[in-house]
Amino acid sequence: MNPDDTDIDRNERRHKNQGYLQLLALCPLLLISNSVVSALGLGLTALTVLTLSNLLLSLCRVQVLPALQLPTVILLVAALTRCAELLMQAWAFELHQALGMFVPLIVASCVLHSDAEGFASKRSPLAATITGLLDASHLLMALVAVGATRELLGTGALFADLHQLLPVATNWKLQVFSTDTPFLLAILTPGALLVTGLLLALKNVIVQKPASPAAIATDVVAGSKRVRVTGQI
Amino acid sequence: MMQPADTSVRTIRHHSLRLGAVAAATALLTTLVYTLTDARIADQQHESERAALAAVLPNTLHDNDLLAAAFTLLPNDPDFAQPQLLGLGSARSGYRALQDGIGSGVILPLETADGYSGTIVLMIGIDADSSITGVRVVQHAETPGLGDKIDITLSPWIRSFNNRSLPNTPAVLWQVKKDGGDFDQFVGATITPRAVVAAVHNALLFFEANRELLLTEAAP
Repeated sequence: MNPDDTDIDRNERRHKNQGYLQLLALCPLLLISNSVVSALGLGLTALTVLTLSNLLLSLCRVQVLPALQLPTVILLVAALTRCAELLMQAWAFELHQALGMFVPLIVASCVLHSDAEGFASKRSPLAATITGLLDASHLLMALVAVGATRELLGTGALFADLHQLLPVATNWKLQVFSTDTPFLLAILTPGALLVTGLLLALKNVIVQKPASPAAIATDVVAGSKRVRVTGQI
Repeated sequence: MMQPADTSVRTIRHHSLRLGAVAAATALLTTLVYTLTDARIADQQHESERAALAAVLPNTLHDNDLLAAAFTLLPNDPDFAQPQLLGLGSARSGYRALQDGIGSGVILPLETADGYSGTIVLMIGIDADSSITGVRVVQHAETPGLGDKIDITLSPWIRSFNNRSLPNTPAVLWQVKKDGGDFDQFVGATITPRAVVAAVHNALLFFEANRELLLTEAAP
C-alpha cells in the first residue's frame, strides 16, 4: 500500500465514521423529540451551543495547540451546554421539566459536529460561526421534522404546549384530527427510530436520484487503487 | 519518536498550562451563569411546587405558606396511627394548611404498588371536613394509552375524587364500577384505577385515624 492510498483510505473512513457517529449522537435527541415543542427546545439549545462554541474556538485558535483541540472542544461545549441548561431552568422552567436530564445529551452531538468540520479553530471567526449555524440548523430541522411527525401521528395535534418555549403562544395548539385511540407507537421511544428511518427514506427518494452505474464509475479517482465503492449514508 | 527530555517536559508543562487555562475559563463562565440564574431557578422551583400543591388543596382554604408548613412522613412512621395505610416506601413530605392559625386541611403523600407496573405516587388534599379537595398523580409508570389516564393531563378521571369523603361514599362504593363501586374504570385498564381508588380510600382512613395530629399540631 503506498502512502497516497492510505491517505485516501483514511479520509474516506473518517468521513463515513463521522456520518455514523453523527447519526448515533443524534439518536438520544431524536428519542426525546416527541413533539414540536421538545424538538424546538433541544434544537434551539444545540443551535446556540454549537454556534457559540464554534465562534469561541475560532477566536482562540492561536492559543489552542493541535493536541489540545479535542479536550478544549469538550470543555467548552460542556460548559456552554450547562449554561444553556441553567438559563432554560431560569426562563423556561416547564420546558426544562419536560426535557429534564436530556439537555446534557446535546454535548455529544455538538462535540461531534465541531470535530466533523475539521475544527472550527482553523477558520476565521465569521466562517466558523456560519458553519456552526448551518450545521445546527440542519440538526434543528431534523429534530423538528421528527418531532412534528411523531406529535401529529401520536396525538393528532401540533404545537401543543408551545407556551413553554414562547410565553405568548398560549393557544397555538393545532388539532388536526382527534381520536380516542392515538397511534401510541409514534410517541413512544421506538417511534423515534421508525419515523427517522421513514423520513430519511423519503428524503432519499426526493433529494437523491439513484446514481447511475456510469456516474459511480466516473466517481473513482483516476489512478486510485480502490475497487470497492460503497453507498453513502 | 524520541524527544529530548527537556523538550517533552516543556511540552507537558505547556499543554497543562493551556488546558488549565481553558478549564479555568469555562469554570468561570459556568459559575457566572450559575450565580446569575440561581435565585431565579429557586423561585421557579418553589412556584412550580406551590402550583402543584394548589392543585390538590385550593389556596382559598388556607392563608399560610404550605412549603413552610411541610412535615416528613416516614414509611411506617411510629408517630402516626396505622401508618401502613399510606403505603409509603420512602420518606415523603406532607403539608399542613392553616387558616387564621387553625388547621384547615392537609396534603398527604401516598404510594401504591398495586398498579400495573411500578409504584404510583400520589398527593391528596383533605380539608377539615374530611372531604377530598383534590388528588394528583406525582409519578407513575402505567401503560401509555391505557392506565396512564390517571394523569390529569390525559384525562379528567382523577377529579372524580373531588368532594368525596368517608360519610358521603360508603366503604363498599370505594371500588371501580366493574367491582360494584362508584368509580369509572378505563377501557382496557382496570388494575390501575382499582389501585388508585383503594389508595385514596386508605388515605382517608389514615386521615380519620390521625385527624387530631394532622390538623392541630403546630407547625414545627
